[in-house]
Amino acid sequence: MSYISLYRKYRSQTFDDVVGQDHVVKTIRNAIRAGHIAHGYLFCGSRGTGKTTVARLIAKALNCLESDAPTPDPCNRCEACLSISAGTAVDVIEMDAASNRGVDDVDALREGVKYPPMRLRYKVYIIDEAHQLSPQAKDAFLKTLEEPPPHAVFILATTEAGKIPVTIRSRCQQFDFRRGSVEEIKSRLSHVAKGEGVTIDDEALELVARLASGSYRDALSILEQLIAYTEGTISVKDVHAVAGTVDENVLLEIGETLASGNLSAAFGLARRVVNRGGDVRELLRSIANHFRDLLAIKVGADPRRASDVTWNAQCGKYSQEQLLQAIEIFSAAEKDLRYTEHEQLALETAFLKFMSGLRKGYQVTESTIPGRQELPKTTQQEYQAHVSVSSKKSEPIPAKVTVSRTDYANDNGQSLNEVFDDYDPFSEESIEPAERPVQTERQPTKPGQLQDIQRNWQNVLTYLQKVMKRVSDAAVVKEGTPISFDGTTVAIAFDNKHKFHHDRTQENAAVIAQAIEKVTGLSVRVATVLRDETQAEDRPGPEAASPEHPQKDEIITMFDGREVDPGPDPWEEE
Amino acid sequence: MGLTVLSKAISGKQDNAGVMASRQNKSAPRVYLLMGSDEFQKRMALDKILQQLVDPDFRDFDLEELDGETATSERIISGLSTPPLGGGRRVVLVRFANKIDPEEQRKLARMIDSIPSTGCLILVNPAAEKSDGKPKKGSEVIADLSKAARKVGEVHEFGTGSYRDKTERAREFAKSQIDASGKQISADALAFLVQRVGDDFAIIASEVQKLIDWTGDRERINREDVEAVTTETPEEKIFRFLDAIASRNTALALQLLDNMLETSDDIQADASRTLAMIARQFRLIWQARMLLEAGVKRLEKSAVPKQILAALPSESNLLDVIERQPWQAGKLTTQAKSFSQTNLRKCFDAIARADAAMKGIEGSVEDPRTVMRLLVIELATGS
Repeated sequence: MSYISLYRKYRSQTFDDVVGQDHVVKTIRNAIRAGHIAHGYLFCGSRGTGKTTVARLIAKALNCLESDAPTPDPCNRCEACLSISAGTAVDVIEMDAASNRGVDDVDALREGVKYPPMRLRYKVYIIDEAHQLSPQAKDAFLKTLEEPPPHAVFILATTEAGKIPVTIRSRCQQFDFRRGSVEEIKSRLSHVAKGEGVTIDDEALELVARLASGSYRDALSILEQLIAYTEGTISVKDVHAVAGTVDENVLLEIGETLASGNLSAAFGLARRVVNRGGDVRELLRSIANHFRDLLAIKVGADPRRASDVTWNAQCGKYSQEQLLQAIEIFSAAEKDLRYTEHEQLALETAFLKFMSGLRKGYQVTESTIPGRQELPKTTQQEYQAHVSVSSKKSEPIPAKVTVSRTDYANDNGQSLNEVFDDYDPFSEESIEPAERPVQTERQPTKPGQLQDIQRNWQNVLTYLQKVMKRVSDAAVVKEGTPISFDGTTVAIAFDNKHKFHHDRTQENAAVIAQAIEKVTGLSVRVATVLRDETQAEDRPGPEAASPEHPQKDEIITMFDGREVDPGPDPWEEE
Repeated sequence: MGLTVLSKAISGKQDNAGVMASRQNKSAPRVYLLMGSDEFQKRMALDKILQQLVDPDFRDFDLEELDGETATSERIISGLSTPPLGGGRRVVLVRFANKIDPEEQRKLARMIDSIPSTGCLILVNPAAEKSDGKPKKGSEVIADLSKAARKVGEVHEFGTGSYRDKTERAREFAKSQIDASGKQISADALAFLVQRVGDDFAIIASEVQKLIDWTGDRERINREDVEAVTTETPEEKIFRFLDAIASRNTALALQLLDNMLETSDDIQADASRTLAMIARQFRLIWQARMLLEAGVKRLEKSAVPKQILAALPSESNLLDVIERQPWQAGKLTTQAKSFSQTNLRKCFDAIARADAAMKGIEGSVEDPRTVMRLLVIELATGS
């Protein structure tokens, strides 16, 4: 015997079985009892809310042979009821308008309507996805609906009532099917689980009901997968495993960790989730949704969760502004996953962005690495100090750069740069980076690497044009010039007048870093800087832009060396 | 049969004696032209006219139905010249009268006076297609024919008139349908029903039937019944949503937004549509605010100085909207009072950013649902 899906197996066979559509069922039963049978019904509502089920019940009610006339309580035993249940009734015609949407299909239907039913009392036409009919087919159908023969009843089902012309709507009795509430879906799931001899705990039921978003069919489909996945007992963990969702407790833990500012712990959490085979995209989406849920509690839109002590407590740890920023950052990270192969890195970068914003209270969504004028003064001073160390002599980075990654410091006093330098996301040791000795010395710059990047800049831009989704994203990078490289971070400078280009480039820093790695083989991070136009005019060429190594003097002394002019680069093309 | 008689006929108030008298009244109109957007009223009027003019026992002989596409003036006049077999009149019914060839329409207009008193021509024109508020050429019968019909008969246009008139007619019609079922409806429920379902008689009839069936043996129909059974219009949804925003009820606004988007199978399109409706509403609120600040007491054209009238935008013009839908005046006044100019500027900025975000031009959030939720929070909380 062929397998029957749960949704079909447990399809309501009587009006009493229909859940959550009392306003439809009661009205239709009373109408049938009173002999008020409309020639056209229009059932509207999202998928899996019972439109086709009720349409078939009407077909049974009109044709049940146990009764001499249409009855609100079809017997489900007579030949008519059984054939309708089995889908073999010749006089109940189901048509999928998504695949039979042309005038010819409607003409065939109109031709058939003329003839009286062969075996039943009424010919019932159930037209699913009626909005998909072509405009010409809708016009043709309207003529039938205007003067239908007395033996025909049309039931149109649609998920998009707005696409049904008013001329058709006004000739049908319209019923709106509501989405199931969590409680209603839970009750249905529980009934089906019992029927299948499966044990499912309440938490799992609740989660499945929520995942179904009001659709009974979706809920049963998830349950079906769970039954196949488990051995008779379903827990919430099974639901997460099957649906690919992230455990609420994990999300709450992430929320707590981010609020505490413990970056090491946040990275550890990310690593744990990823190591367990979790989908980073789903995790980022779930984190964004988690912050959205917190925001809903914050503005009083989720009284159910607001009464939960854990949720409420976590909500209190964030301001509304911070929650909005979190949604922006984690949504952006999910979006940027399209451009990266290093998913875990994207997750960690999102953590960093958000946490550094929390610490300093500035607009993390605008800038984590470079560029905002409204940064705290101390941060600017820190950056100036940093710049003055790294570019003491040739000063390739203009003095007006306004921000640095040194604005961040973790619990161990590490700056953001140091954390980046320390952390190898692919190393097992980095699961708990806080336990590692703090590395305070910067990696030495490798001479010639900036030239490599500058020389290959055009290739990087060409590569970006290929990989970036929007051509405009690649185009804006052209206004920038790589002006320094400290062994970790490439600084790309933009003139002040190109603030827009700067901002867009900054949003795509991860992609550009990848492009540089692809073209030059250098694993880098990308920062963007803005500079005065006056300085831009004096912008040094690629050769002049080469920064001198901060430890040059120390090296010369150590090796008893001397400074020589390297001459023209033999690899430089004429 | 004059207008009063016809309206009596439509509302079903004319008795059988009246019908018989009409059927035999040789001085009754020789032409009826039925037009307008409300097909249901047109159908009801046609049914009643036929009931009054044609003897049901001789319907097959005394009623000739033609389609405008194929009808000619000669065929029509010839049909009307045939004496009736029954006790009524010989009727030629032309559906889609606008499709009669214009030259044939002109001929018919010239010959219309020759229709004998035993005959009656009924021209039915479907709802006219409109462009810029005016009927498209060819979607109505030509003016000559319309004038000629008026001269020897009656022209009835259904579904026209001011908002107030249409609402009043809709209310009367709904009440008459409910009365006929032996049920009663509270005034509050009746007003709510008409507000919810609009003034299309077919939809009113269908919704009233649902109410009658829903209440079953219960005699009285209450507002809760109307809420439970009838379909909420998109306008109603958006107004409740905007009211929640204007009253800074973020929780309710978010809940209503979710309700609006939850049934969507094309979230991008529906979110964009909702955003456009929000933008339009804020444009109206902004105009209302300007008028109130300029000292305008009532949101009506007659109460607004000319120079201010001239400054109002031509599209989404507040006063035009209120002229069509007077019930918006009170709501817009209330909403305008809850937003300062500064607030409104911020709101427009937020709407523009949401629009750009959904198009992928600005910001990092592209998911339409999230964009809309963030917008609602921004509009309702001012954050």
